[in-house]
Amino acid sequence: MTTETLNNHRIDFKMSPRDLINIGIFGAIYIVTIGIFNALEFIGPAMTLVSSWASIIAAGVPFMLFLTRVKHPGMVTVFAVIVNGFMLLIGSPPVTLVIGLVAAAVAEAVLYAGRYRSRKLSVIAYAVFSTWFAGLFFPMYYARQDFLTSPYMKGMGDDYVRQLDTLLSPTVLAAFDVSTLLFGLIGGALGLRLMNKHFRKAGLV
Amino acid sequence: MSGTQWQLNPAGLRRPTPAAPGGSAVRGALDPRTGVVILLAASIAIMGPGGIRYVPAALAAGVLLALYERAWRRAIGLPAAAVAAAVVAYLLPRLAPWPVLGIVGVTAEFTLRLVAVGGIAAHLAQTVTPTRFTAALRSARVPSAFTVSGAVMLRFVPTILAEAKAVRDAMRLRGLGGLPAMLRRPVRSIEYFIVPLMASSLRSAEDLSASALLRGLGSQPRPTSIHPPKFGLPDVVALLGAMLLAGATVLTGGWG
Repeated sequence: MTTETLNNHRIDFKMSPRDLINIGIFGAIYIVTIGIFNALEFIGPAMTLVSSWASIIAAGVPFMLFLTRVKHPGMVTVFAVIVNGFMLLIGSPPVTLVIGLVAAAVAEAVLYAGRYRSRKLSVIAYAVFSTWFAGLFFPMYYARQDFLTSPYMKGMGDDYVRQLDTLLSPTVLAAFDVSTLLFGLIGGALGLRLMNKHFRKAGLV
Repeated sequence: MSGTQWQLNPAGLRRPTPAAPGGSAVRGALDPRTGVVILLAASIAIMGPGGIRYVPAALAAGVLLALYERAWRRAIGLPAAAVAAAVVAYLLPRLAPWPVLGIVGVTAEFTLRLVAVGGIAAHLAQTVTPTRFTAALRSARVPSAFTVSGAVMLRFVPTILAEAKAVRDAMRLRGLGGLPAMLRRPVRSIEYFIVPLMASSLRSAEDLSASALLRGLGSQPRPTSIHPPKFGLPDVVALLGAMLLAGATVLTGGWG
């Protein structure tokens, strides 16, 4: 391990146009994957969480493939900026961009620790990157307050409101935030497995 | 395109402009920067604490933009979707005192916010081409690392959607698709769907990146554009309208 840090390849921030094109292409594949699996939420509001979990798992495949083409520090961050910027434009809460940037920076640090080569660390990096999904549900923290105090809820009785409050407690919401990390690990592992099973054979990696 | 001359001018906003060479300019469309500013303002206001009161204003803006763009289906569909979400959010929990319905209600209220922002976003998505969008970003001095990769992404999303449709059709043909199958074996379904999608997308990605590099994408000198982004009368009207809607919300306290 220590010898590896010695032949530390030069940190080269300069990205070639080809790198930028790769980022764009995988960004597009990532977004379409998320969009398709997120479409599940139109089945009903209760499916919203399930659909994000499905998207996190499914999007692990393109992301892991993307990581095989990352050669310079900053590529994951640029990826996060354009993906989350796009999400912002189609209506995700602005806090998602902030979370996405922080998550990408941490993911880059994890990748860097593995010299952008470690497969195990790339799974962890994907899990960290996926935590930006938590940002999508951040308004639920305060939207809940809006909803609980709305005039509509006044008619339901205090008991009901209290029950609802405990069900939607910050703990439950925090559990969702943590679950993005867990599903990110599953998605990363799935991506790694499918990469070995299909793409390596086809010469696409 | 040529049929616009005799059509009614909604509020006199839409002035027919001479056809651009190549027909790439959108007649009387908003500058992409105006659209982005309005969208970000709406998004920040609505997704913030207590933002639900801005929903009617954002919906009104979305409908007005849809009317301006003559997207009749969206002009009708947007309020309909909002009403549906509002019914689920506020009336469903009253049916029975089950907290589960309350959770559905909170989620639907969140969906309502998304619908309100999404109406404005849909306008941008429909009217702004990747070329105009990157030209606008460039003139807003966004670093080329983001404009180049972002342009590629915007250009590539429709291609992948087409590939996804093809993969879905192929799955249907073999009796693999469908929601029940997806719910029964989720990971298997993801594999069956994603792997062919990725394989075909990567093939077309090779072609795209080769042709983009040949055309000088990401080259050092700043590219110029045939239609440099310009602010015009529609932008002023749109910004004033957005400020008016926001002001009305603040003054009246909105709903809720």
